[in-house]
Amino acid sequence: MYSIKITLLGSFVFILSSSYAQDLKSVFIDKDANGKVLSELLYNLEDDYNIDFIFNEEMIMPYTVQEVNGRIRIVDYLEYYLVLYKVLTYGDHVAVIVPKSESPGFVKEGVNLYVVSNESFIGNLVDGSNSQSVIGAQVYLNKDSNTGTLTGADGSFEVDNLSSTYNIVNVKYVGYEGLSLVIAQSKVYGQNEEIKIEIFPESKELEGVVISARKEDANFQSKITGIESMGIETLKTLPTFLGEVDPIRGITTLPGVSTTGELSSGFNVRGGEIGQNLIMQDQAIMYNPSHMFGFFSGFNPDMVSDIALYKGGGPANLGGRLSSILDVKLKNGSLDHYAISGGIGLISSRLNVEGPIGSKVSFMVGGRLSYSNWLLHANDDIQLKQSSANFNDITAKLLYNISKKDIVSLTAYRSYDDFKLASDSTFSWESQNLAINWDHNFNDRLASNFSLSYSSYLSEVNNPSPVDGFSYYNGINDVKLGYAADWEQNQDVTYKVGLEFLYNDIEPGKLETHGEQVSIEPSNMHNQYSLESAFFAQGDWSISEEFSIVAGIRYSHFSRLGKDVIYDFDYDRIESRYPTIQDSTLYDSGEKIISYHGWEPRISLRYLMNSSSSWKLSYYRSYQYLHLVSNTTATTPQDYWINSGPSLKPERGDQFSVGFFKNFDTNNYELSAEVFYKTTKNAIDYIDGADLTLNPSLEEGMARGEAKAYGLEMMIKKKSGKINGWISYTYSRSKRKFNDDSRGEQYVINNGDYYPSAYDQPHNASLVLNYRTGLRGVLSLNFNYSTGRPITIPISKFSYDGYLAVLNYSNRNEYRIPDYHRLDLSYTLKDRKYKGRKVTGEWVFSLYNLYGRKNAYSITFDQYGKATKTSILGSIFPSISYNFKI
Amino acid sequence: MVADSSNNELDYKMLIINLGTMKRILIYIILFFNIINGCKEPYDFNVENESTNLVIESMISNKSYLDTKAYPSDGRYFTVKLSLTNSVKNTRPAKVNNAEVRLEMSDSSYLEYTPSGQEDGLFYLEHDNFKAKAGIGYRLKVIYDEVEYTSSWQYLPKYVSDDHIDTVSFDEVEKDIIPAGSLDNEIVSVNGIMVKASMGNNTVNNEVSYYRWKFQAMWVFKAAMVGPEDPNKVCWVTDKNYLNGYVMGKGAGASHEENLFFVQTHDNEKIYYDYSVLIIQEHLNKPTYDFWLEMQQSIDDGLIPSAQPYNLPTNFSSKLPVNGFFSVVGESAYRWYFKKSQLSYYVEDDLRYNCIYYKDLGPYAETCLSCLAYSGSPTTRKPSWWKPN
Repeated sequence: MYSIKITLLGSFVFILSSSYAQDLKSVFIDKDANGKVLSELLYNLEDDYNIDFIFNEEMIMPYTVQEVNGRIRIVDYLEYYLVLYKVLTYGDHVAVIVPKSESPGFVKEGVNLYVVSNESFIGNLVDGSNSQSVIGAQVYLNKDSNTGTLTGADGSFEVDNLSSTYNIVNVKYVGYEGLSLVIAQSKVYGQNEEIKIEIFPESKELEGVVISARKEDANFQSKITGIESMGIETLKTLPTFLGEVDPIRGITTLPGVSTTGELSSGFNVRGGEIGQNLIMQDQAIMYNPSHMFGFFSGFNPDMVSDIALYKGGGPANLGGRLSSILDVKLKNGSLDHYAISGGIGLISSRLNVEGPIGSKVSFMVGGRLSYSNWLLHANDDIQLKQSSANFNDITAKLLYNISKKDIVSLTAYRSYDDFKLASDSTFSWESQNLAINWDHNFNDRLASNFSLSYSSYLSEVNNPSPVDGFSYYNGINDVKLGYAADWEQNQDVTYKVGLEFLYNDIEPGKLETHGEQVSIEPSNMHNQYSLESAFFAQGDWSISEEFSIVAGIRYSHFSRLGKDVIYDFDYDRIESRYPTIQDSTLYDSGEKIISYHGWEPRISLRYLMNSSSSWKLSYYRSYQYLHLVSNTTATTPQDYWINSGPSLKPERGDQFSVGFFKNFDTNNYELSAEVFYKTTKNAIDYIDGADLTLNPSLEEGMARGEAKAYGLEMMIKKKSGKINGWISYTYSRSKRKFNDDSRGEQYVINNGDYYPSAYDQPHNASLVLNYRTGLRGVLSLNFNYSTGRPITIPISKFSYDGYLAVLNYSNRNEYRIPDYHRLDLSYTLKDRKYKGRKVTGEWVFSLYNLYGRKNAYSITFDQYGKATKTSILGSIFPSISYNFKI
Repeated sequence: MVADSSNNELDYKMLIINLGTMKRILIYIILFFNIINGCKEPYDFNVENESTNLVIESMISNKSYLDTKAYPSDGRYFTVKLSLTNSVKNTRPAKVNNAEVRLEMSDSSYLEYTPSGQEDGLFYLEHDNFKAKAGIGYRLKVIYDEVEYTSSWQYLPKYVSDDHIDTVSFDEVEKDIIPAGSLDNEIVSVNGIMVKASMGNNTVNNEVSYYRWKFQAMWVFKAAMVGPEDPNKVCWVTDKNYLNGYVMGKGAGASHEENLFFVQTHDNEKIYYDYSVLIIQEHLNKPTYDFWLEMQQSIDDGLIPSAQPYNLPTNFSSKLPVNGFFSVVGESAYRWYFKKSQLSYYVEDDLRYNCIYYKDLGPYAETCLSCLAYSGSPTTRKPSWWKPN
């Protein structure tokens, strides 16, 4: 991911021209000028009229004034006489004389002709078609390509060491028309403000390009392992399901990341659980990143700028989850013009509007709405005919450029889903987020970020029956406060320090009844409260050209707070599977129940073998204080969170990784191979028959043990060209062991031996191929393969009482479901682009599951033990959508 | 940039046309492909290392054979059923006859079970007056194939003497069901009654008590097309597959009602004449309650993914795997009778009409001419205790 780029936004005063200056156009010469040395004539005119001629004295020296036959404007004369030169006027008082051989063909003041007052040229590069900052573009002097820079995260750049006369500065970025600037220096009339430069996408054939904010050599240059980043443009090239771009589905094509298939509301990283991933959108935590049980992304793709996934602890400023951090950043609204974009899909549509409010504020609002019920009702299955599924979400962002040093943004998000399957019960879930971020630059080396966010997730099951109706809720709310400062001591050393606080309010489960003849009793689990805090410090040292180290320490502290009731259990009196409650303690509101803390060292070493390859080594330790409880073999939106407590210690993860990274062909190819080994202490699994719904003793249904995961991840990627894409393969194992019988035999699973976790998929491979068919078309292919997930199956049956068949099961996760593989194809056809076009769009045709494989989403068993494989998508699934932008 | 208004107008028109075109294409694609072709199909696992466990089904209560005859009913001896587990692909479990079965008491006495001789795997404790007593521990011992299987000591739950069902009544309700034999799983709404039991204040000290209710139904069936003098006109019918489930519940303190089972009224020949259910209430200790509850919950077939599967607990120990749970329960029962005239609405007896309607050109259906042809276990012998209201 990107370190926060320090943008130099100095505030300069535009120097007004002298009140005695005369307009260039009113400066004349006559026959008296003939015979004078041209350069001397120009200097005299500068003194007499307070104008400025900018030229290379050596080049102009040989010329003497000739052929002046009458009164003539000086600029007209120069254009006539200096046939090998262009005379460029800037404002009313400056003329720049540039050899035609050096000058760009088209020069226009304010477009590519600027005059600055000193030897630095400060600018901001934007895409003229959408006003988005262009990041990573090359800006360099034409005469010396080593003098230049890359544009930063906000498009800003500074070119120093300008010649005191004129300079030709080239701006180059793949996929865009090149731009040559003429930058002249005038101490009197030059400006020092940051100059906005616009470049436009190429209107000739595009090379396949991934537009992301990564530097081209980040694969081997970046100092931290286990990072995967993807720009939204790359995500959009992947074949989609029903035309919906999904960042989560996109990252599962990367090594080390897998999913349980269709209808999965999360993902797994290096064999870890879904609840071990922290997902953030502009710093606010997202507890459920998907709609409709995982079919669609919870993120609005039109508003996402890029995503970054840290596999493992990541830098010291990130923590709270063992497996990964997924950081989703949203774009900022345009400060220049209004734009509307959207898409019409098979079962959902979206609309986004952005634009300026005044000169310093921009807004961006996007919404999505589904109308999928007609699709369900078109089905033959009676149950689906009587079902319904809906979702909607809205995302809004306000950006306020208070000054050159301060930027404040406010991001708000709300999403809602509901699903009803034939019966009276409706499943619904709702997320709300609000995040404020304040970026402050103290100077060009010191910057800080302050963030305050609020997140809320609530899921509900509602049965409206007047006879036996009920409502069941669970949810989590949190408030997060963070402050981090980045200090660049010099170009080889940077530091980051900060603090973070997270307050959680969890509703583990509440049941209300509202039927007249309800046979179930209302129940309300006590809310759980906790405060997590962390202090972190990290240093990034480039010890030498080859060797760099990023080392940090994170200290995390967790307190479980009242108001709550904590039970004391008698493990000598086990009734069925649970110990009996022998005592309970009531804690008042805010009273500390228990606290945990730990140090989390993070270290990454990078050794550059040469200019294109490197070795990287890393070690991370993380603590996780919140746990996702899932009562099912696949996660659902009804899963809920609980805090660590007296009976439930935090999980601690340690991860080692070493990898080799190499780029080929001028960074056009990237190769990576990384080995990892991960251990988890205080891992959790559920005892047989655990009752996890509305059970105040639910922690006693959890066995505690250890887990380990290890593997090899490999990827080769071609980044540009007519054909581009990547192949990734991961071999990994994820196992766990529970052999602690100190609380009772029921806490020993599988005789205390290691067994595969539910996410153990030894082989995982992805192929993504994009082929540019022409000026506007891209054909994309995506193939995924993964070993079938472990499963516990019935191995025998018997009859008992009135039941004809009661099942005996194998050891936990002893068998596997069939392997998963799927091929998708899509074709994107963009509208023609030309300057001035206001409405652009693209058609997206997708064929999901091209050879109609009936991948097993789950295998269930009827009461007789007969297995039925359920496939969500049993055939090829075509879709068409149209995306537009105004 | 210079704005070109004519291009803008064209752009917007193209946007509208594109939307209309897409809608047409969508409809064609949807008609062509059968969308959401999610499917369910059978799947075979290759089970390795199959083994066979002994299954022991056993229970004793504080009601003897003679006590149960007074419910009223035909009476019940305590039994033990022995069988073996079999592969999930086979349908018939193997019964075990050649085993020794013994009930041991904590006062060192014991009783032997004897094989029934009529039904495989069934052993009887043929003692008319034997019943479990409070304070005495009981355990079951089975020796089969030279392997001993012994249960843990079990005791009657506390306060069983307070247990009883006060009254049984019903509410007229409508319920959504998928009719048996429905080919398309279509849900229909049917009229019926929800039978409920009212329990007295049966606990002391507000301790939680655990219950299981089982049902034995019997009803009168009449062959519609024969006269009253025909010996096969009237039958009393039981069916082991009808109301063969059970209801679990728990209560503490105040008396309460429990919904027990639903009986459809229209189109249900069981209630056309006399209908009776022996409602048996078992007062359990918690481990036994958990065992039956987990057995009930272990059967789940829905679209939403299931919970982690698990094996039922057993309170038998042995050097080989074993299934089953020996329990000592507090038992009470209530004989409930029902006639359709108790309903607030009329239910038509359509047996005769159906016999005529479905007759076609051949003879009447067998059940129209003899009640003994009716499904289940019909008998023309009226139970001695049969006294409907």
